[in-house]
Amino acid sequence: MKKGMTVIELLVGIATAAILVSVCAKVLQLGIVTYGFARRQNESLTRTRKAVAGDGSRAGILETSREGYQFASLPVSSVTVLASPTSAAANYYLKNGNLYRTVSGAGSVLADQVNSLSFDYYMSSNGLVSSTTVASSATMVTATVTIGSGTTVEQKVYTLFTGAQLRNHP
Amino acid sequence: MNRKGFLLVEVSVAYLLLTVGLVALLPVFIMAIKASKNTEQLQVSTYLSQELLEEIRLRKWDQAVPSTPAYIVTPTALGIDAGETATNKQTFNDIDDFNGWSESPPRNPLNISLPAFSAYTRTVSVSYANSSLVALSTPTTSDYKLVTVCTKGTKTNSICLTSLFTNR
Repeated sequence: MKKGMTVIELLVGIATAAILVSVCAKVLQLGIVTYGFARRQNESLTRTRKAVAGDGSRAGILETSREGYQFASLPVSSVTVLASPTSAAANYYLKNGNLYRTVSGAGSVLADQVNSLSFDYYMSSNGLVSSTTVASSATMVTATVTIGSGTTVEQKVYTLFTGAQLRNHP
Repeated sequence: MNRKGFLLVEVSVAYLLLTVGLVALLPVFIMAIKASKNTEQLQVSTYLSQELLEEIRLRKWDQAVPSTPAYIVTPTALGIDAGETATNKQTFNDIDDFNGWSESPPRNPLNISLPAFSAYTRTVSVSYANSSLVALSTPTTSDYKLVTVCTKGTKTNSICLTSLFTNR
């Protein structure tokens, strides 16, 4: 009789353990998924920031505006070229969520998970700021980037920009 | 042999203790998730502060500065000048017009709201400073204007960036 009790006791014990472990596993899993998601998004942002605003060793897309490049919006999965007046044109485009840079036909991926990238140009005249469509007259260029694939909820919007000191403007 | 009678109680107590321990650990995970969200807000706050500081940098040092920038002896009062609208930064032509500026959500340089950043508030304060970067109380003036841009996220503290502008 006492042996029968032991089996039930064991079963109850195992059942309790199973419930506890499954709950804990869920919580742990959620933590790991969240961490991985945040890390991936942060990596994408860092790489996009380097590509757009430069990283010290190589000029970013925004800095090339100094050389009179023409900018265009980069909507999702379209191929929009930023044409340079010089022969060594570096072209940037978005395709399948990747930001590419090509020089003389050779391309490389600069950042992934880039959902959209668009540029705005501003100029200042006698202290007053207005928008301009001419990249060569811009004293400030901002880029708005949407990072993250998947649903809108999972996407993050960031703003990147150049300083106000372009082309020796005061 | 009568010890077998205690097994269920023993197991129950053991799991109760285990549960207490595990429940105590739950806030750690919740904290980790919150921390990662806060970090992201702080990062965005920094970007937004930098952006507004650059916007302010596009302005003249003072209303009285001529169109070809030059040193001026008598600056005008801090704050907006005649003909400027307190709610429209596109009418601002000098950096001290931004004194007391607040925008929520942040707006682009053309004063158009950016709904993507609705969780943030940007504020600006401008004051004169002495050469030791200590802010002076009005009406004292100097050749240095101290501009502080603060961006606050809903869940985080303000990220404040300060820049010094000289009379030029």
